[in-house]
Amino acid sequence: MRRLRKARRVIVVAAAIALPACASGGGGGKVGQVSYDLGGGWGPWGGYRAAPVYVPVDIGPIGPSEPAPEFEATPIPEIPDDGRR
Amino acid sequence: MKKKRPLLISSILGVAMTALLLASAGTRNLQAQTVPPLPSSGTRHIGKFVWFDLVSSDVERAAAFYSQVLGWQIERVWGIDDYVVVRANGRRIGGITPAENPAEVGWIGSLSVGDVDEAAAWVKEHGGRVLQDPADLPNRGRMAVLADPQGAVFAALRSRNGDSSDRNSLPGDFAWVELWTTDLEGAHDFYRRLVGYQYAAVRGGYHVFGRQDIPRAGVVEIKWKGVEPNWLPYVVVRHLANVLRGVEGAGGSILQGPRDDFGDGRVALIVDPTGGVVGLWQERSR
Repeated sequence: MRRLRKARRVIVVAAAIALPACASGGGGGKVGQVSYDLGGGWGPWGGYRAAPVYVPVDIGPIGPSEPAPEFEATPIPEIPDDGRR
Repeated sequence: MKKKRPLLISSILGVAMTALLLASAGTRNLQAQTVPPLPSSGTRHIGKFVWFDLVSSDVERAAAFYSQVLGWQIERVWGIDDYVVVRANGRRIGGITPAENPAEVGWIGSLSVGDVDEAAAWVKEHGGRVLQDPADLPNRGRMAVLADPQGAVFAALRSRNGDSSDRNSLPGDFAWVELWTTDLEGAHDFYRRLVGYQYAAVRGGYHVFGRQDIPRAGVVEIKWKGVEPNWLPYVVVRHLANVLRGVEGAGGSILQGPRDDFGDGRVALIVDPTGGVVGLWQERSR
């Protein structure tokens, strides 16, 4: 049973690394950089199930009592709002 | 006999490995069931995150947690046995869906775009990834799951009947979303070209994406280890301290805060019992 579990884990890890690479047409290295910890979780916050996250910068919504952001001029997106490029 | 989930559910899993596994298997059919429509104003708000789905290792447990802690109402979807829709203040705001792999958990926001197919193709051309190909979801619209070049996952959505209106946020509503990225300039360029985001620097190291001068998202540069690029949603709460007192009792944890020195009000980050991370925000005026 233990051997079976170990084999499954190896397959999952291999798939996690290999699949993004082949399915994303060469851009898949990124997913391989995510820390896969099968015991602790996957994903951007996988390492933070209970411990405080270290946040050395400001976070949180822009609220009504803050000055409105001074945005740059509105750029034109490469995908028009109404559809096709 | 249990019905299979529609592809939406696979799509909003969004997490790279699961989506790719499902896409490669090609066994899911989008047409199977119907999810409720999104709240609509009849107009589109390109660049706005209009819906949020939690990919969870335990839908029931997550639903119970958010219901207890944030007061969300849980709506069962007829014909789909493992996807629930979340309501706040009477309006549908998101959903909770099971993760194929119990270790893969996270919130995935749906970004309103002009054309999902074009967006997916553009993302692929510009260093991102298409985790789930565009597909039609009855009642909801056309949708794809994408990752930006840094790896932050989001869904691109063209809703069928328009996007939710920009109303004043009430406690329980999603009110903000924040991109945590390792490449500030790269992210700016990517989203500017994708959805026409403007950019502004505010209060120190914090940055904001906007569109037509309406702030739509914050941007945080990750300069430390332990957090991968992601889009983090925030929920408005009436009294942050009271909410946080209930988090651990309901099986969750507090990752950060409450902080008075962040943003306009009080901010905290919590993790639900299944591993989903969400920000909480009490406006200064509340």
